Amino acid sequence: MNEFEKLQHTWESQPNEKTAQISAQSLIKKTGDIQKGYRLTYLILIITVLVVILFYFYISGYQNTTVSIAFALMGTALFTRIGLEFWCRHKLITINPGQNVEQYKNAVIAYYKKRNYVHYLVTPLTLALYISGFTMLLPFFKVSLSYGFYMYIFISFIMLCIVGGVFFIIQIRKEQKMLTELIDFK
Amino acid sequence: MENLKTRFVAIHEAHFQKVFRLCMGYASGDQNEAQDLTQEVFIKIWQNLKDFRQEANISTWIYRITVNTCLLKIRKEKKFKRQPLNFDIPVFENNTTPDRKLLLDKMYRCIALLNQKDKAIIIMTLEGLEQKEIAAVMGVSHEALRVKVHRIKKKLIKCTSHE
Repeated sequence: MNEFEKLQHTWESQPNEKTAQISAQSLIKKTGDIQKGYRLTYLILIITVLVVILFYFYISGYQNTTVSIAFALMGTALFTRIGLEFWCRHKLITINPGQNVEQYKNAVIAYYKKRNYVHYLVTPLTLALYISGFTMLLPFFKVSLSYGFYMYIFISFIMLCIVGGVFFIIQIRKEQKMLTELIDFK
Repeated sequence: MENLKTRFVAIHEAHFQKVFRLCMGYASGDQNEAQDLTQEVFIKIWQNLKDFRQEANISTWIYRITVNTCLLKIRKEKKFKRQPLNFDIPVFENNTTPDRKLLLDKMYRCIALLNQKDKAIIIMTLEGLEQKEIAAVMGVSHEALRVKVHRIKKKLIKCTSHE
């Protein structure tokens, strides 16, 4: 037995103690649960859209052009960005994992390169639309809401922008690091 | 659907250990990490089994999914580092010599030092896969792989004897 065969023999003699812990049936069930989770997330998104539309009619937003435009801007920005995130996730999980490693790596690199358009073009654009819409609504909030509630909405919005901004920066850095590592993959 | 399930159960039974050991190599001997990776691999196998058209050998297809999953997952979770990590090597049966356990421990340490591609290649070689099949998994020519395998084998032998 040569040196490598000795290593190979040692490798192959590892015990098979983990087999029973993940059964095929439980994996099939788990896959079903994951798909249910996705469907639930889509359902929540649809309900959110409906609530926003109902709110728009509830406050008779359609009677005022500025309010309508502001709602349209905010709605378009929000749902474009969220919709795009879902689409991207779908694209990533549907990359064929049965391709050879080289092809798979290239497909993932291509995906993350496309994600750069989302990060550096779509995100700033949607953020600008959202802020514009909110700014257009501010005078209406000031007139129709109490000072305390107005300030609450105003500060919450600023906080949301800061937290959202930090989240996006972390996400972009993480993806950029992954892209660099995949390009350098040897 | 039932046919597909039966087929999946058979695949799971036949390939579980090989997939698990490959994931163990990628996870530098961390059993929990390897188990999570193995689970993810089999979920992908189940999700994609209906689209498997026999263009490749089933074991080649499974190894491709395994290496691709490990590649992406370990990078995502920043687990991969080119240095020995925490080890949780499987416990051998009573009749196994301590030398073999020690050697396996060394092997995991040495495999952890290899780059991603070499790591996949050497684990598949240790699993006894033919070079032609490893080349099909990695997407490189048989000739290029042959040279690479020779080089990595030497590296592994040298490392395990010096560790």
